[in-house]
Amino acid sequence: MQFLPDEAQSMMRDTVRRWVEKDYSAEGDSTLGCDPDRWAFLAEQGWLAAGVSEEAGGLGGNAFDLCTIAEELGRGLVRDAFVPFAGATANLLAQIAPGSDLLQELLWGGGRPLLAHSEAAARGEQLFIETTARADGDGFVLDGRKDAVLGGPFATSLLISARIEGEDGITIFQIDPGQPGLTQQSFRTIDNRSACNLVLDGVKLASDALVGPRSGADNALILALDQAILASCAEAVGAMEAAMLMTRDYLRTRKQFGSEIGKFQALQHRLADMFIETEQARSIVLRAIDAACGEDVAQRQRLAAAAKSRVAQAGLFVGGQAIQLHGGIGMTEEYGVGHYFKRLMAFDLYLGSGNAHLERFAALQQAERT
Amino acid sequence: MSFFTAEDETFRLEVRRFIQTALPLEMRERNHRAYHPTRDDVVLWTKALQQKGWSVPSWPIEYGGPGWTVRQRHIFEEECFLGGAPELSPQGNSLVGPVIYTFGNQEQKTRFLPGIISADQLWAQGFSEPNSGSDLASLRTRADRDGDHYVVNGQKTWTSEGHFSDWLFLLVRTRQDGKPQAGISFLLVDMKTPGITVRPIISIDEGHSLNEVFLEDVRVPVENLVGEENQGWTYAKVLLGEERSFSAMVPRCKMEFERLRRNASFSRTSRGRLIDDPHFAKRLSALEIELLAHETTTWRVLAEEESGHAGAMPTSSIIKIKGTELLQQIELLSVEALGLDAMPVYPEEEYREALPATMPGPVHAVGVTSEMFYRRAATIYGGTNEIQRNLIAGTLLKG
Ligand SMILES: Cc1cc2nc3c(=O)[nH]c(=O)nc-3n(C[C@H](O)[C@H](O)[C@H](O)COP(=O)(O)OP(=O)(O)OC[C@H]3O[C@@H](n4cnc5c(N)ncnc54)[C@H](O)[C@@H]3O)c2cc1C
Repeated sequence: MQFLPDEAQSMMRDTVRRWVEKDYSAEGDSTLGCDPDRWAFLAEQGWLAAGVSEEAGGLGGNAFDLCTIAEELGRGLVRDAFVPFAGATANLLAQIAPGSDLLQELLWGGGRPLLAHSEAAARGEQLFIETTARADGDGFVLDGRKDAVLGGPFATSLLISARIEGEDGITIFQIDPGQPGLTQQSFRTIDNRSACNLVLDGVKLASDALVGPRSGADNALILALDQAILASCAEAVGAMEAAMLMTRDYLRTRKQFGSEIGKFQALQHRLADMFIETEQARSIVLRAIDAACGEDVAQRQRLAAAAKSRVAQAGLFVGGQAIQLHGGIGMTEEYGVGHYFKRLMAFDLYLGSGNAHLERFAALQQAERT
Repeated sequence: MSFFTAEDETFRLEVRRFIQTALPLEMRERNHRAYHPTRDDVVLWTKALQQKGWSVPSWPIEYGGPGWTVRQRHIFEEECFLGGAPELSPQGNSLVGPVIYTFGNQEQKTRFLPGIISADQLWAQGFSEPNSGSDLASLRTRADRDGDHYVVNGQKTWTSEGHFSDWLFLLVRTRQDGKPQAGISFLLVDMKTPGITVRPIISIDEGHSLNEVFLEDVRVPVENLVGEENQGWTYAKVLLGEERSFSAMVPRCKMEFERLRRNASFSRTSRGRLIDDPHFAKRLSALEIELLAHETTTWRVLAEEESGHAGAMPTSSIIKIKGTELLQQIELLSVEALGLDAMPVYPEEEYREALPATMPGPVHAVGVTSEMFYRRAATIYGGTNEIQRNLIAGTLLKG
């Protein structure tokens, strides 16, 4: 099991960290939630391709590489929808359309196709969708909706998951955002990112809109979503560590009752607990990365669920206490420690809450035993 | 078992009926969304209550209050919350009002109490400073005597509602030597006085209720000193005790719990409604049980208050800690229950007055997440929960 980054991964981590600290700025971002030039830079650096195998057209890395980058972006609360594009979508396309132009554009720049799968009622149940496709001559007609698609406003094409009527299994359809019948409602998320809801009302598609196997994307979807969950957990660990260290620094400088508040044992213990939670979160993520790099598909799913459950729990604790130990200043939009809490809250909501994945873990364990 | 008598229950119905008739519907909806109350709403509602003689519910009759029992006060607060009424200005009602009628002189009572009763004058609390929060006694804003005025210089912060208040009650330093507590005075300041600058602080719910207040050579007539010079700390301590017991938050917890339960019946899962999901029901029940225990503890504190002999334990600290932490748990589960509908920002300025034509989520999601963010402060204001725990442990260890 890999605990620490190897030399190449360390270099990559340092490069990402330097970029986040020195060059990244979300000021002047349009309502798309990301700047196209900045995104082109991420692609150029190979960061979007880091978790994709060479055969599929990627850089040949694995989940460890992907998570290393995600952690640094989380540490800096980078707004860009790295995980939905480079985690979920890249992984899905690497499975169902390896070597395709669509994947090439996503990984290396040129286009930004995005998986639009999430529906509010799924609540983390990964294959629960109500969007339908009806065969119509040679093509299809799609109806349904997608909720809170992170990065949606920035996508150049949307990969919609739907069930073809009368068939088992899920199919992926590629749709242009301007397609008639598709309404896109963009919004700002609680952690200041961009997302959209999509309403599909009789969207007519030709047969070439189909990406990958007809009614056969289920397993690929699960793996892709788990990959995204893992990468978002790594982002969360980065955010937690940053919040914890920011709090430590504050305890060293803030004075009340004639001494640094870090002298108060109640706060020392709380800081220690924040550190322990961060390390527990990091450990479960490493364990899940290890499973994601292995062949055992059941194990991979179990550990993705375990990671989400544990990291979400730790995240809300660390984010909440970071505010608490700052007192009033922690409550201000300007100071910024609260932004970690907001990111960690949004992380919990993304792709099924920590509690939803706790239930998923229990169900998977039961299935394994019987 | 109920803590309340038959008469109390009759009173409850009377209050409930009054709220149903007197509270405008739009105001109720606005407050159920739980954004920060506006000045207009607070004033309008206070005046409606004033007609009934109910606008300062905790005050004795001789100062214009209804002279209610502790239980009646509690019932009133609860019915107001659950009925969607805006919170009465706590600064006027629970903080400066009681200080003025307890420690102020006759002239001050005549001059200031009517404005609180009618909400013609709203008040802000200027205690905390950038470097004096938990350690309030270290405050540095100074007031120097110059003839029949004090000249005030310094900075206050976290001043809730300072941007729409008319008057400010201040703790200021009037003596530099000796014990820090012994050099503090309590001043009443007209916010229109030259030298006062109010700057907004936007909190993490993206709302505006907090402010910084800068005071530069602000001339305050000496007749605005409450009680004696350098005795302000004693008065403030009485008032801070008051601040804790209204922080019990039983009514707010109940309101948020009801909202959670309602919302969970709107949220869908693959198997039906979220409220019917056994895992969710278990978590909801755990909070409900905690709420029952907390409510009972609060009743015990009220009974103690009623009997007039408070015990040795700082019970108000227990209910402050439990109430605020429970509220935060309820609100976290509320956000989780909304699921993806909790993701959008529903900005206060666009949603408070009326709902926009298109929204990124259902009506019942509006205000839930921002309320949760704002109430992270509940464990900070009114004496942080760490300070409250210090108090409890300190008392226990003294034996
Ligand atoms: C939403 C909101 C509204 C407010 N409204 C008002 C208002 O209207 N008027 C007003 O005057 N003030 C107001 N306040 C200020 C509030 O009273 C202070 O924030 C509070 O007293 C804490 O002070 P501080 O923010 O300076 O934190 P600090 O005192 O600096 O505390 C930082 C951390 O250290 C901990 N700590 C401090 N001392 C100890 C100790 N001895 N042992 C253990 N832990 C300790 C605290 O618990 C906290 O976690 C408001 C605050 C908020 C957040």
